[in-house]
Amino acid sequence: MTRLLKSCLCFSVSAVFASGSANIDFTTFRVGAQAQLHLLDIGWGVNAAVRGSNPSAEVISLAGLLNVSEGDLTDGSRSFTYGFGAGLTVRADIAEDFNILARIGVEGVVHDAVALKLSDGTPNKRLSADGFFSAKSVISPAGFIGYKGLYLGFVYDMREYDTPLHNNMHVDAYLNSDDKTSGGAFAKTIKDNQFLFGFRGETEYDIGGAALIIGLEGLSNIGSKSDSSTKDYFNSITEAIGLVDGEGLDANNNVESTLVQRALYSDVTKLSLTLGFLFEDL
Amino acid sequence: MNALLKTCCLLLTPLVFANVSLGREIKKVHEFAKFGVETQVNLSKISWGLDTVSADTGSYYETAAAILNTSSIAYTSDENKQPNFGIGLSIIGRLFLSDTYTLITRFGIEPGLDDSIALRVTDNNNIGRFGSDGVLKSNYTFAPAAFLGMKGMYLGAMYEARSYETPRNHGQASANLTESVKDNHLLYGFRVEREVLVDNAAVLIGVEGMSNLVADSSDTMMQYYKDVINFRGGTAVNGADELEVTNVHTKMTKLSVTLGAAFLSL
Repeated sequence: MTRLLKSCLCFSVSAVFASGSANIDFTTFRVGAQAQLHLLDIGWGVNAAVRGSNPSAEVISLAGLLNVSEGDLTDGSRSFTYGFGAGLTVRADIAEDFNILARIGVEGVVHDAVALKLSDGTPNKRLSADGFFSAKSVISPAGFIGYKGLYLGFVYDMREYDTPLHNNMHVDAYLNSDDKTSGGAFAKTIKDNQFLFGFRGETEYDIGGAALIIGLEGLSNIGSKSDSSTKDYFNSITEAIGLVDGEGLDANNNVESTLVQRALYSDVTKLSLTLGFLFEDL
Repeated sequence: MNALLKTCCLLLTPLVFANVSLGREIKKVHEFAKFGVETQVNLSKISWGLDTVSADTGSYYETAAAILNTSSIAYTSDENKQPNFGIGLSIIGRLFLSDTYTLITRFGIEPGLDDSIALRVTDNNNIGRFGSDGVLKSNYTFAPAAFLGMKGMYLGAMYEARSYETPRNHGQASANLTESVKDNHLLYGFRVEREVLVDNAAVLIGVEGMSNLVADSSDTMMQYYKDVINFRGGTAVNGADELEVTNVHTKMTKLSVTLGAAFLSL
């Protein structure tokens, strides 16, 4: 609901600005296609806390590491993730110099990302960095309202990931053990849909019966809570981290202390270069 | 040097395109230059990625290394990892190279961002532990920038000279840790601007998207994180190389909205 309100506010401010300057008059629609190249900075921030009696220095330290860090969608060489996309666009002139731009597109990313993988079972959890997050192709509708080619707007980024192939035996052992305290699961696919807000600038070149549009976009979700399936997945990872190397277990392997995830935030920033065409007026 | 070369290439490419494709010399047009001031509102994302190894396989240290290798330490005000908002003020000059092409130079200053949470070594003995209750302070930064473009669409670079005050009270580790570190980076990106007439005065509204495309951190920043992590997991605990930082990368992304006006034309 908050996201919807943010979007409405974003559009309303621009629309009021437009209507205050000139009479709104939907005179021209143009349709076209657009290709995009993206630089994606995506991360997940765990807000972790230590629960239980007598936590060890190791568990406390791991909570400290998680609280100052963001899990990155990166290929391991610390590079950004690059993506690409294609979509259909509709642009309407609503007043002199004012436009509305709507786009429906599909996006993919160039490579898989490294991820934490459960590589040892009960009771001594261990996690390695040799897992992979595979980002699936996503649908990303967008809307912008602008003045003289300078737009404000949003993209609804519907993103899905295949999670790392954890060792099934270790996952089963984890799920069936008393170690698990909050009911989380290692889902094989997670969704994390986010509203991104930002701007777009474009320049138009006439090429006969069509217009070549070069555009640049900068968008961010301004740090929002993650979707529930992503939150549950990272909750399981966080709990497993708290039990690593037998830390958090007493002499009888019962849970004495562990890590819990108070919240999970997605942090998405996207810089894009777009190239497209708009065809004859409708 | 590598960064300087990248910047030169970035600025020269559109310049060559301007000169060759239009088949005319860069020349003075009706106005040669305009100077003015500009304010910026920035959304900045800054983080440091630590490449870490652990020789102690199957242990807590291996998991700690895995966490560090799949994540970045973020400059953020709290555990919810919210982005940082900042402001800037600049003097800006526009040099009109031709009817279409413009070179923008800008020299600005940005106050420090809100303080960030940071790792702190919280014990005074050799079994030190990390807490997330340290404070990392960002000082004000100078940010010279240059953009070259046509029809209000620009490509360019910005040099962000930023320094940080590291957390105090690292206990026994404090003696080894630097209290102030610099981490200067070149950011590359785009700028789009439009001129709006307000009561016959020209106001320039612009947007910018910049990134350092991930670069090695400065030597002082790298050494700082090596010292922090090594105190917890290095030779101070159960032997050598239980947790060791081999490299540190800085990742910066910045989205900005700018508002400016020109006062002086030549």
